[in-house]
Amino acid sequence: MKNFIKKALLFLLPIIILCLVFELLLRNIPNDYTIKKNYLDKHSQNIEVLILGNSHFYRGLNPEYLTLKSFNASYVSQSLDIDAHIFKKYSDSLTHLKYLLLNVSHLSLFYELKNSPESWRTKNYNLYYDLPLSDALAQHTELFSLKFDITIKRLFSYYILKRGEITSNENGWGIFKTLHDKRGVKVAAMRTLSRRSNGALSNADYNHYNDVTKEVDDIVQLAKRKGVKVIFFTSPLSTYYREAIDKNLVDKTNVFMESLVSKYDNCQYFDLSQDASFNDEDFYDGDHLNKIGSKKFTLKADSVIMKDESDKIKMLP
Amino acid sequence: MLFNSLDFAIFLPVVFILYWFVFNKTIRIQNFLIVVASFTFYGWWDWRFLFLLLFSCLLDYTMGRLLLKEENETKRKVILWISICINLGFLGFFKYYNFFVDSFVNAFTFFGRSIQPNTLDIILPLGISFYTFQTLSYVIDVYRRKLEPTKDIVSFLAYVSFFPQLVAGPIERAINLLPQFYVKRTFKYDKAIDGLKQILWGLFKKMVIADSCAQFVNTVFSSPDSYSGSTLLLGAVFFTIQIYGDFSGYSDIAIGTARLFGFNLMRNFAYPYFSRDLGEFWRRWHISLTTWFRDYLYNPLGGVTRNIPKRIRNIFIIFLVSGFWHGANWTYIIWGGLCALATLPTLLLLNRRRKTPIVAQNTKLPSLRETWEMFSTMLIISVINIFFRSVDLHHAVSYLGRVFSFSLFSFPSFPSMDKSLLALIVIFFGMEWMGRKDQYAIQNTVVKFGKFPRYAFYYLLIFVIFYFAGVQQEFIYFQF
Repeated sequence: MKNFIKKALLFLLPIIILCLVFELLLRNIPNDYTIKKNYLDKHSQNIEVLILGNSHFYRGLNPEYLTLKSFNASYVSQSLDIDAHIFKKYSDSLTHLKYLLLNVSHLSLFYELKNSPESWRTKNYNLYYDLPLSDALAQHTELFSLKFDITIKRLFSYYILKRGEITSNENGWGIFKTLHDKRGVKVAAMRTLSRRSNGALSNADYNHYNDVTKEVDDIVQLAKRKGVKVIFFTSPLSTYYREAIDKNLVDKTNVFMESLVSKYDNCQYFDLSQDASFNDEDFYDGDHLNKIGSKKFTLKADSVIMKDESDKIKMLP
Repeated sequence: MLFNSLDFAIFLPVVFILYWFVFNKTIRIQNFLIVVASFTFYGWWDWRFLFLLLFSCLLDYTMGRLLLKEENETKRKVILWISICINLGFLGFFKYYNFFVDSFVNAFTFFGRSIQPNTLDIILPLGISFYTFQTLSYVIDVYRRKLEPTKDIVSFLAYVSFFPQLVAGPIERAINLLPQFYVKRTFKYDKAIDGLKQILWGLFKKMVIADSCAQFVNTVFSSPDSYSGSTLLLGAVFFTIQIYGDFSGYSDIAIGTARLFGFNLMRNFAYPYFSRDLGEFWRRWHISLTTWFRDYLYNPLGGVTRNIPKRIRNIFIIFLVSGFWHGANWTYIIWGGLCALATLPTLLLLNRRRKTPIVAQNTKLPSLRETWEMFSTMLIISVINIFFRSVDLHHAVSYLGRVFSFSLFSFPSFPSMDKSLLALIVIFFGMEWMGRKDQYAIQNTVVKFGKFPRYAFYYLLIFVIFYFAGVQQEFIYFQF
């Protein structure tokens, strides 16, 4: 027995050591989640506009162009239930918060990160945001939450090629290095949609709808108690993408948003998915704005906010 | 808890250490640890269903005791049927309730009568089909007086809930496993090493072969209209490889884990894709289930009889019930029927027992004839398995329709498939072929190497498992 334990330990030791080293090296790679969390930890009391949502907002809303002090805490594949977690976590420290900008795409109400093909990203919230999104042990590690070949590539890219993983700036806005996807907007849009029809769209079933809409309701209620206005946007979409998406999901989203806006007076919704002022030049790919488009979108969002601010002043006695 | 999870990688050594070092004073304490560990393992998924498992255990333990005391044959039969009805009643409720309701509604609708269905949102308890059959085999064997009913409730709980095989088998007979809980287990180095090797091979089958195949299979089966017949046929073949890697991988891990604790579980797979006909295939595939049906259904029905119509009836019954056991869906029943239809000629016309129990037993490579026989057997199973994988009959028929279209003769595409998968499958079957005379592929093949190459091989295998593991998928047989 002792011989077995000794030999087993000797055999496993290099593997265990290698795993620990890899885990440490992976956690040492600077990432956007840590940047966002650190900013919220240190500066939440100064934020007047908080942006939450998925990649549409991450790439699409640049706080630089917002008049009020803003921070973009949205991120790729960040679902509304995670937005709710983040908002709940920081709601007490966001003492000067006036506006919460939330993204609603045609999938948002039918999608939870933890149940999607992108569920591996939940480890980032467990590890770097201190948000307990998953009980699965693997989702509390870098090494076991991702495929090993990707881990090797990440390590090689960061430690050998010296390529970082940070894609956001100090305001939390996600920067694309180029204006357009090299495949072109149309091809990129079709690829995204076909990929989602094999994964995210099949997950976008009505099972998640009740859970997600409940979370949205909770966010708006909490915001109301805190005196915060919640402004929902459906971000601009390229024509190719817009025409191909599931219209049933769009209709159901619109019905819910209408009911939400009529239910709460601290809530507004703007659907910019068909806004004619955006053209192909504004898009990086089918559904993400580039630097030019994000400026246009942010200025539109800013005009909504500033109009509300001026309305408030007018209403003062 | 999944075998291929980090949770299990921590759970197993902890239980192992406790079992051999802390709770090793008496058999009873060791068995008690097994019960606690097994209930923890099962409760990890959903603790509420522990009560169902416990109830099932207590019911059949009590029935066993009653059968021991009762001498009157009629009363013994009543006790047996009470046990069968309650066990199958639970199985029927959790697994088949909605299926029966939907089927009745469809039947009424077909005849022009519309009725409101009253379906329930029922969660299928993990492994219920497996442990129900395991407890049933105990009661039936006690009734047949083949087995002395146990007085030791802890041993009985450990036998039913034994965590390596609780969720997806092998479906153990009480005759084989229960007595192992009565005797002191001594640690055997060779047995433990053998167990670890089998676990390693099982992980490779599941995480590399099955999970990697799953990505291609899921893509193809999710939208069959988008692919050519040749791609769809390839998808069906890959599903056949996936399900073998998945289920036999699970069995390997289960058997290997049990060996670490000093137990011998029955073999569940014996290289089924090296079968020369379908009869041989069913003797090599999911052995614990096929032998269960043989002993508790096929033989009582008359089994192998000279009365050909009766024999055909028996074959159909066993395959249809087997199909229905897999799931509450018409696809499984049709699958069972097709398996019966395809196997019938072999069972009726050919000599059931081959001259050699293993293909190419005395040669390194199979003959051309054997190659063709193995290839055609696998191809038939792959086509039939389309029903097994499809979500409903319409899906299966449309998939099959596209397979047998002119596009079958076009060059297939490989959506969502990592190109390295083909090489891995070739290596996998190569290893399986080399080890086909053993319990599992790497049991003795690697032992022939020297110490250094042997360890290098194990490290390489671990690296391959880490590096080429597909996206984690649940074990297919968990849904049954």
